[in-house]
Amino acid sequence: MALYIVSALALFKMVLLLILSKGNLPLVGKAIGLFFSTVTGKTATCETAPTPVKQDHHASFLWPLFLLQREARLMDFLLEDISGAPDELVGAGVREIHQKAKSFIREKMQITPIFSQEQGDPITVETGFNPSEVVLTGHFEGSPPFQGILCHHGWKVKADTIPAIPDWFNKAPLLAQAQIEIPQK
Amino acid sequence: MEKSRFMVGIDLGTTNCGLAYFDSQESSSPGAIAKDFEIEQIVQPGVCEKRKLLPSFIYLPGKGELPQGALKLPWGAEKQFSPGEFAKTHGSTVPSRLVSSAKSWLCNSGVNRHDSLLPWKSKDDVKKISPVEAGALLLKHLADAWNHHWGKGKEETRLENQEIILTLPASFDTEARELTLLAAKEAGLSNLHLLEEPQAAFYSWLGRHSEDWREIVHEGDVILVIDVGGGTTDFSLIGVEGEKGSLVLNRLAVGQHILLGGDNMDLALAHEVSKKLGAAGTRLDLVQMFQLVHACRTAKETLLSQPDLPGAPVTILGRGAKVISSTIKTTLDRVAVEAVLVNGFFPPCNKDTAPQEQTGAGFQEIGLPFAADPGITRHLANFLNQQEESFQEKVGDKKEKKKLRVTSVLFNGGVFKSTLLQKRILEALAGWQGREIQVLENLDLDLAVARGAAEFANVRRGKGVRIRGGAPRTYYVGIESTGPAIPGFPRPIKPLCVVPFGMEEGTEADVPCQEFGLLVNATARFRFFSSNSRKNDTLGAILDELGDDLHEITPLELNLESQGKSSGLVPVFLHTKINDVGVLELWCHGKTAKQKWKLEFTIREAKKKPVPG
Repeated sequence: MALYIVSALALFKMVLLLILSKGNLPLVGKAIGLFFSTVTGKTATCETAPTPVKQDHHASFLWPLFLLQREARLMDFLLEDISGAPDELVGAGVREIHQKAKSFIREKMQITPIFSQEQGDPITVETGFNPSEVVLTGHFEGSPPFQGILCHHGWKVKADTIPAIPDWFNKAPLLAQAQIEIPQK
Repeated sequence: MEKSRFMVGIDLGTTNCGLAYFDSQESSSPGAIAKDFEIEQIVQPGVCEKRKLLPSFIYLPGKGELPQGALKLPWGAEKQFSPGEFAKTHGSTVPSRLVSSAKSWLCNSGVNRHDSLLPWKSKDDVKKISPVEAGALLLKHLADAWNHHWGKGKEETRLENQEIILTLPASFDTEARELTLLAAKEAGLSNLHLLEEPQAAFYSWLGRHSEDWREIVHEGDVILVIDVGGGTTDFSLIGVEGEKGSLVLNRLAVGQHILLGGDNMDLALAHEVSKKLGAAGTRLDLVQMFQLVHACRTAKETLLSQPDLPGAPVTILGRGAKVISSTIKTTLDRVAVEAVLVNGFFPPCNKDTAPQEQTGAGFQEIGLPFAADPGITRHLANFLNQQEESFQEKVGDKKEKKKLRVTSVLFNGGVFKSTLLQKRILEALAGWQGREIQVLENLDLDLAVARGAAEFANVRRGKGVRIRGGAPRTYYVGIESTGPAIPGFPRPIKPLCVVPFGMEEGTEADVPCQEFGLLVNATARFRFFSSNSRKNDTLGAILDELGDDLHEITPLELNLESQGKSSGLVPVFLHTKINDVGVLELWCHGKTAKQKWKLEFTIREAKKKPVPG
């Protein structure tokens, strides 16, 4: 469960990144790399040598992606080459996808910042801080407390109501089903 | 029956069902509202979630269409149908397998409502269901969901053992009421009471204002409840009257059944936009059309809440994997919303306006008698005009002439989330009456009916004030007048009043009139009529002619099988009864106590049998 919450969150961030980067794909590629490195806890080099995932992990990793594709067409969007699409169309499409993905995530997860302070505010890192919640950068020596600046308040998920993976999906995990329309005779 | 633990209100809506309840084991403070029961349902293949509303749609999947177990609910085996959210979203892209608006079919006397005819116009390979079955399936789903949550192994908390109030449109005639009860019975819910939806909405308001309602409405006030749901529009008038120093509430009138609702509005907007797209050479498929209706609803809400915007974007994502490059982008212009929605559905009109009779725009589904005129304000004007005459004699202690003046309005239904549309109605009313109208605030436009129904269950236990209702319309049986037969002209029918307006629940009476001679072992048919504007006809009154203010209902039938007698005439008279549940029963009584036959609606061909006395 935790794994796919992280992945869904990371994907959401990617959409944001993409909007910010105005469709600059290399930048997004970097983001994807970073995302995988966070999830697997390995360095970015794992892109070139992916570790095979176990079958049950496979379904639980794909399920939130499948849901985001279903609700917001997120995978279609990430897989599409949009370099040639006019900005106006990208803007309209991204807004739509963003809005749908956002409402899905908001509906399914109770997301709160780890720190309630404003970003940019001075902050004290206390002794015994939780290194799985906080990443320190810059210059620090010895032991806490450290005086720092809150650059990113972090996100944590307090509760989620992501639906359980149905049997049929577990048997054959995928990102999106094909669609065929039968015309009226 | 012993008092049940829960008091349950069920809103069996045209587009959404809801269920709310009070738990007698929890203490409740004055002004407390009923709790919404979250209904577990299939939302996508293999995914079951709880939602506050159960969309009143039923999907009938094709063979092998979905992965195994995709429609399985936590409380039972997989069925060949699925009600709720998945039915609504997936079904709109497979219309021939989707049962929708079943409730509107339930009161469509043009068809046999026990026939398997839904989905309407779909091919033979689909196993169709009847309107009554559709209602039963939705109610059964509610019951199963409740029992899965509350009733596991506990008889006393199962839904069928609770006190249940089931709501229906005020405009449902006695036959539609009976069919609704039958659907409930098929779903295993036989112990229930019926309540009109606008009244339920008002009970919800009363529940919230149990402490201060007497300060908000006053003696002589007339409250108009306007309930515009997804598929129907329903009007009711409630009078506040003084009696022995305290205030009492009387339901004064109900409107006719108008098949016109919020869904029509969204559909009309979507068609407007799709016309615009079509002119530019873009054609939409079913899935995109469904997306468009959705997108138009969002755009409409944006425009209605932000009066300065000239238009709102409408985006339909590309159908194939190329989601961005085949995205369709357009705008919903304010001009279109004004023309189609505001002026189309809420046009300013005179007090004397009558709704137009000709067929309306092309967004109608064939089969259901949709309102020809989309103008809700015109329907409202017509309703108030019809009521005006009888009202003069009804209100006022000395039967003095009194003008019908609406003093307060209670809006209900999702459509009125837009205050602009509320304003349109208020402006029309203020214009007709020459004075401002008070709005009774409704905080739960989508859920008030279910909550108000639960509130009514509370009221039935003596907590709170009850709206006096009685029969919402007058009923007549057609009597063929005697006289010489003229070739080419059928004998004129004279309506005989068998139920006067306001006849109370749980009462019965003999119809004072001449005896009929009925032939034994043959089928006797009675034409049956109702009127919601003739309120002063007394029991047994015979009208001279069949006026425009009478509406014909399915004929009543009596199959008089008398044992021991071979043939001949039996003298009978009519006996009328409104049972506890609010359903009308007409009986033929013979000379002896044993000779008692119930008149049945002829539409129920399959169940035609005499009821032994």
